[in-house]
Amino acid sequence: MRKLVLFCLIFFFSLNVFAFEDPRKYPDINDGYVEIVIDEPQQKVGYTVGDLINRTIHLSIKKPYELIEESLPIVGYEKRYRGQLLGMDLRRSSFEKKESEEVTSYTINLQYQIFTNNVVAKPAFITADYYRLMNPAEPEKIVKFRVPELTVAVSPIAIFGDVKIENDMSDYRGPLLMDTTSEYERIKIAFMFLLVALFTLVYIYSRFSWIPRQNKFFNRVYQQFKRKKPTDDNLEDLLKALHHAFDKTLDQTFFLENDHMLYQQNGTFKNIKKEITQFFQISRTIFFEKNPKKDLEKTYQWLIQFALHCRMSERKLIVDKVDIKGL
Amino acid sequence: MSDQNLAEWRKLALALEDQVNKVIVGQNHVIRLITTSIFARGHVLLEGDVGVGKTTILKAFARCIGGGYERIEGTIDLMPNDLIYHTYLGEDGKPHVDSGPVLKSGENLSIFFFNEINRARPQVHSLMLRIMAEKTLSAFNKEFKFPHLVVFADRNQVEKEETFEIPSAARDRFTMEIPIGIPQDDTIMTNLIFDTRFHDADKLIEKAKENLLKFNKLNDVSEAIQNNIDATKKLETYALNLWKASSHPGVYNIKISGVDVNRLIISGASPRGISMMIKCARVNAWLNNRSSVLPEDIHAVFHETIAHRLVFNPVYDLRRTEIARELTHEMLTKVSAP
Repeated sequence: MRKLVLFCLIFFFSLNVFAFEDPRKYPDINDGYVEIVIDEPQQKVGYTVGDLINRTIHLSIKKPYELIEESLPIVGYEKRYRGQLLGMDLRRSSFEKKESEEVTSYTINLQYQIFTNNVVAKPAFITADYYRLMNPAEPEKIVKFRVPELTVAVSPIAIFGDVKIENDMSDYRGPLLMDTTSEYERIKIAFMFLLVALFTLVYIYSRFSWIPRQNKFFNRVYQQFKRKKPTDDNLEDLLKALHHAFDKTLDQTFFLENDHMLYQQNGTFKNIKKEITQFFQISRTIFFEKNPKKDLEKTYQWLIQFALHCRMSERKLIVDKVDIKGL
Repeated sequence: MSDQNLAEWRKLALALEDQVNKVIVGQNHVIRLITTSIFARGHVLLEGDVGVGKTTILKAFARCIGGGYERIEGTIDLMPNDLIYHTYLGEDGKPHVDSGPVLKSGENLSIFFFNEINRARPQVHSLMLRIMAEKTLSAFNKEFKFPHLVVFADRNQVEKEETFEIPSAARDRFTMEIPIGIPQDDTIMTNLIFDTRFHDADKLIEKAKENLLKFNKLNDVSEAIQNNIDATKKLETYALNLWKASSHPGVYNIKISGVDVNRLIISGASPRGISMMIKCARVNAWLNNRSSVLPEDIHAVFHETIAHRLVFNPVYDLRRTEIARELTHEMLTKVSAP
């Protein structure tokens, strides 16, 4: 009975062993068929839990041999050495393949993450991998190629374990993140948003100039008077405010004699030249003629409309010709 | 005087301009200013380079206005009595006294033309000041009156040798000092070179219609204009601010490159000056067929009525013409209306 149980156990374990195919059983490929260049990480020491190691392998395989892509390392596979877990997992794996008449080139990107630590600095390594190759003309003759191991060193988080990170959860310390990719993505998006906002502001400033305290004289006039009642006093105040806004825009007193300076400074005002002439006629009548004749409400409404047109022109927006009407 | 009469006189004034414009080309602005001054009953000082037509333009006006016209040339040895009388030995061998240019036309003297006034001595200036201001003269134990008199004078600003600077008090008697330059239009300049009718100034002046205006009515017309053309409170405020700016340009944020405006002005425009300015602005409004004075009317006459009255710090007086032009321009651009 004991023999039977022992036999069963041996049979069971032997099946498990055979389940993991040992690539080393295949013969090595002959020299001259494979060229390998590895971009190793510059950092070789000081790794700790959560750190990432990137490794890029450039393989050039001469025809007729081809790489059996299933032999590439599998994500999540835990590396072992002499039956012991090494504490280094393959986290990400990808490859690019380029084929020419004589050579097949592979760029294989591998990312490992460290899950081991020690109270003192200690060597750790990614064991050698064996990639299988085959000649399609003779598919049964599989050969292998050895990718050398990478040796690094892991270091403790704290010296001699005096500080335990789990006991030092200060509010001022951010959580230890295993992955900063999402943070980088957010920073990128925020930076892009900032750039777009800056460009928008520069555009607005140069084109429409309605940023606070930047030449928005007519806007103030329009906002101040649009809801006021058309009285004699308000009409005079509105005219004065418009004159003042023109003076501020031009940085000197504005008359029809120097209107060319206004058009030179902001060509958009040229579109309402007729209205500007009419505005001066109204102003002359109100301020400089004795017993001026006017339709108070109509004149006031026209001036409000004129203030709006001036505001648009100030922002370099072109007033629709249909909207330009005489009094 | 009725509005209708004023309208007819306006037509005459414009006809006067037309006549002078036939004689002098490319000086429309100067001619408008002189016309304005005539109807404001003010004396005119023309300032410009040699040979730009100062004398011709004044002679043409004198011909059209009619009345007594006299002229005298300013020289360094000219004495005040040369204006009043001159003595000579007659054919009978006896000394005779004849009236000088000022007295020759009596009360009908309408235009007295003083050519190159700055060559005359200050004593002569002094006599002219009295005639210009009071329009009277005492001589031979008698007082002579010149109610229709307007003095036209010219001076050459380029030449300084053997000349006497007209003092500020004398300058103030002139309603306008009008700068006159060479026309800038190529066609006009070519005409002045090649058109033979411009080569003989005396013949050219004969083309202007003689006695177009009734000189003895001009005082009445002028008074009527001043009484009929309105000036509102807003305009009064504007004129007042301009006057203040002429004394204290710094207060009105007036800046001139290379000039300390706070030290520039010793004395601003005089009350007579500013009232003459408004008088001329009223005439300008009338000539433009308006019943009220506008800021534009003030602008049209401002430099010519004000600039020569300003008394500058001697440090800046050598650059007077250039600074005065910039200053009056700045005053108009910095003082707001209304």
